[in-house]
Amino acid sequence: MTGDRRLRFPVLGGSSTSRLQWLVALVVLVVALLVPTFLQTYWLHVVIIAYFYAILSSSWSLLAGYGGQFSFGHVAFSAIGAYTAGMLGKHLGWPPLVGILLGVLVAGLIGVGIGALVLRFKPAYLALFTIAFSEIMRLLIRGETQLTRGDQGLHLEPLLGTDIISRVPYYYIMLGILVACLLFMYWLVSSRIGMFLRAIREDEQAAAARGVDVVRYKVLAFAITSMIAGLAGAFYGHYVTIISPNMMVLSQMGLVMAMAIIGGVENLIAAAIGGILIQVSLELLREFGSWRLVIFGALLMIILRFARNGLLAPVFRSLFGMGPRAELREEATADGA
Amino acid sequence: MDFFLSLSTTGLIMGVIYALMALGLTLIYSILGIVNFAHGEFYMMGGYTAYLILSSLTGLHPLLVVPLAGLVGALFGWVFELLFLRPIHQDRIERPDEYAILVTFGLSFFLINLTLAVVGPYPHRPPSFFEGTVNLGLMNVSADRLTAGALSLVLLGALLLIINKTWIGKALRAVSQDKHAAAVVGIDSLRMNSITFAAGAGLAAVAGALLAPSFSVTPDVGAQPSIRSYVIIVLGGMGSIKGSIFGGIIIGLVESLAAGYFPDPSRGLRYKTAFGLVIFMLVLLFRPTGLFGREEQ
Amino acid sequence: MELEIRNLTKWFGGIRALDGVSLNLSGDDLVGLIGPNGSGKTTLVNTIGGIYKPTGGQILFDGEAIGTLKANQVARRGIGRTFQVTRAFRRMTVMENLLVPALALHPERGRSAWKDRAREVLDFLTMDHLRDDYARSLSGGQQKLLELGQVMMTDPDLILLDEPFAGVHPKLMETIFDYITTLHSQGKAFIIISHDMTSIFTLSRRLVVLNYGNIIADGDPEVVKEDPAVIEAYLGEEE
Repeated sequence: MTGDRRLRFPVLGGSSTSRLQWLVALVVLVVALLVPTFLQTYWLHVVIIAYFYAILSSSWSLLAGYGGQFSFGHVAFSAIGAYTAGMLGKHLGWPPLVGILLGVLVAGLIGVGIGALVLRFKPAYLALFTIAFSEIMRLLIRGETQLTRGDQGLHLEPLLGTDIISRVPYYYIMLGILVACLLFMYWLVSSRIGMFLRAIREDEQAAAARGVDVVRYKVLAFAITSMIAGLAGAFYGHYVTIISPNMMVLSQMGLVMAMAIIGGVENLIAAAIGGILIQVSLELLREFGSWRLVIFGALLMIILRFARNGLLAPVFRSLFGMGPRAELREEATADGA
Repeated sequence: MDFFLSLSTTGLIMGVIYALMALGLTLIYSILGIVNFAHGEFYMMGGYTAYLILSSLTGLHPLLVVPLAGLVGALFGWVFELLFLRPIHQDRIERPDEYAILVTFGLSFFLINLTLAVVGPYPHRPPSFFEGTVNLGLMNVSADRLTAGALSLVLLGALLLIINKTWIGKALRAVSQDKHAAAVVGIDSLRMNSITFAAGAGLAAVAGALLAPSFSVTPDVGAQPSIRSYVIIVLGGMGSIKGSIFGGIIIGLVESLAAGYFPDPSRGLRYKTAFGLVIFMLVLLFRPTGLFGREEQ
Repeated sequence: MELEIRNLTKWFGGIRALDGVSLNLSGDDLVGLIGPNGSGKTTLVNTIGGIYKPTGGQILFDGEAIGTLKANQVARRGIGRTFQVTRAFRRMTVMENLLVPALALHPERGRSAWKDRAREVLDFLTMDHLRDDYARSLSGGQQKLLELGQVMMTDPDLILLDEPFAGVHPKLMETIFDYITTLHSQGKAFIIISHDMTSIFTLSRRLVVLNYGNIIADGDPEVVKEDPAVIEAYLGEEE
């Protein structure tokens, strides 16, 4: 068997590719490109926000589902990106693109810091520490009103300037960022980095014994995902043009988590789609008011209990026949059979 | 000096109440081995139970509602434990550590939004236990807070008695040390888990009911007490009863004194919980076992 | 291959798991490491392997001090190990399990070259047909072989085996025995922890006995077998 030089983009990090999978992705992309032709401003906005959440939920699934680090700081990184861009724009007059770039870098740097600090933490401690980090950031942003305008909200320049009031170009930009992030994460996941992350998730000590530089890859996972969250946040800020500390309350983290888990926390695409579907559903069910989130909260708990892999990931599995054939086999009998 | 005493008294009173709630959390960690990320929401439940009962049964003395709130919290806790947590200890859950974190966080999310949907976002305040302030010689303390503190102290004392002197306390201690050995002597650890979770939730609910007249309730009122409880149990040592009591008092004092002495008083108040959080992160980094926690390899 | 362990100590809180262990291996030595439960065998292997840091003493591998190195760095120096309870990566395929150590230590060879090598290893272990199966669906014995395969991928000079025969039925035991012998004949050194006296006696020309973190015997299996200190350690009697 000669070397297979074709790039492999497995949905689940398994070893099979599927032409069907790419075809479906292409169709979905074409539909996405055509969306502005049949959606009005309001719903277009909903979908743009949904894409924002999709970036957050898929990148969180990379860190948590794939890499096994269940961090509660993800929305904080998104806010860090947004506020960096916002503050640079407001106080130094820097243009949005530069602000966004710096937002990504700052989020990434802090992500490296947090990732390094939590290296040896067990899951519960990691969760607690990142909750504390997120809350401290929120309190700081809320408290330092000179810099951030606190609860009153910080105004950002629209990315495309004040002349362009149509949402359509913003739609394509957010879609573009989402697709770019997904492709990047996909590539990462199918590379050896993805394999190392999974090995670390499976058994950190064993991975180390097999030569995997656990420190490097755990921190890398934090760095990359926090940069992606920062990017999403910074661009979000320059789209909605006003941000407040509420974008990083813990319930927002809960929402992102719910999106990833309901979609399928070990599957980037499923998590992304989970994000889009849930955000759109939240809009569709607007008349139910607060009950919408009650339903999703209940759904989250039930799925955790009974359908750990989420709702969408198993659908992909059966549609595209992903995964090693042993999944369909019965568990081998113990010892030596 | 007066300022210091006044702050310290407030700190101590709040500290005792914090300790009560943290004790619930530490018991849950000690027996079930999990961190209850919905602990603050049981606190919230206690506050709302107090408010809702008292607003429909106006003749009732507010103090009577406190044990009721505790019972409601305990009941919810019991049911949740049975449905969602028991499977962990029956080995029916993959990656249980992760699951416990996510499912309790999910419960938190669910409860906050449920309250929001049913009662609405606006703050509510149940009637005071006792009106006015009490003069303690050098300073005045709100009667409500003093009552809350005193009751917490009594409850803490009762709990310590139960844990150290009664059969059920011994059973709990046995299970926290070695589940299997406890099973050998006939202690049903699954039953102990349910009792403990219910008790922990009940304690949080009681704390919530005790503080509701002082601070009023909103659906997300549990967020800060939740985080504070994490800080306390990490500081005191996860699973250590002594630790949660000391930790509670320390945090109560720290919050009060730091807020009071912070150079910019309005900022100081806003950053009240931040002080605890910073301590928290430092403890996690440098002395994860806390003050009295068990060494783990 | 030169392994020098000098006065190695490892404390856990108040417990002295290793209490001044000194041991030398060179070339293709095959050492059987035995001792009663809790004598420190796994601790020794874990400390050499970089999972534990020594409290005192030194570990020199080919002249380099490796005591403070992390586990992945130790693996990089050419020391491979298996675990007492198999720790293959359960939710990854057999092939991926083999690729992880290979790509971690020598990514420059490229995935497809490593895949070829992996298939050779799998052929050797007669597990090639399982290569796309998840490790968790393998039987216990197959998982043990898989771990062995992981070790083989990176061609280490020293292999530490922690209870390679434990819980394995006789037929598979023979197989593992053969593999160890084959690898040994390729010039690899071994430290093998085992409670299975028969296998250990047949395999090794040198037996090291640990008790309470100390080496109480080191030499020819026949001699060690009769050593009163060794007998006492196992029987736990004072005489």
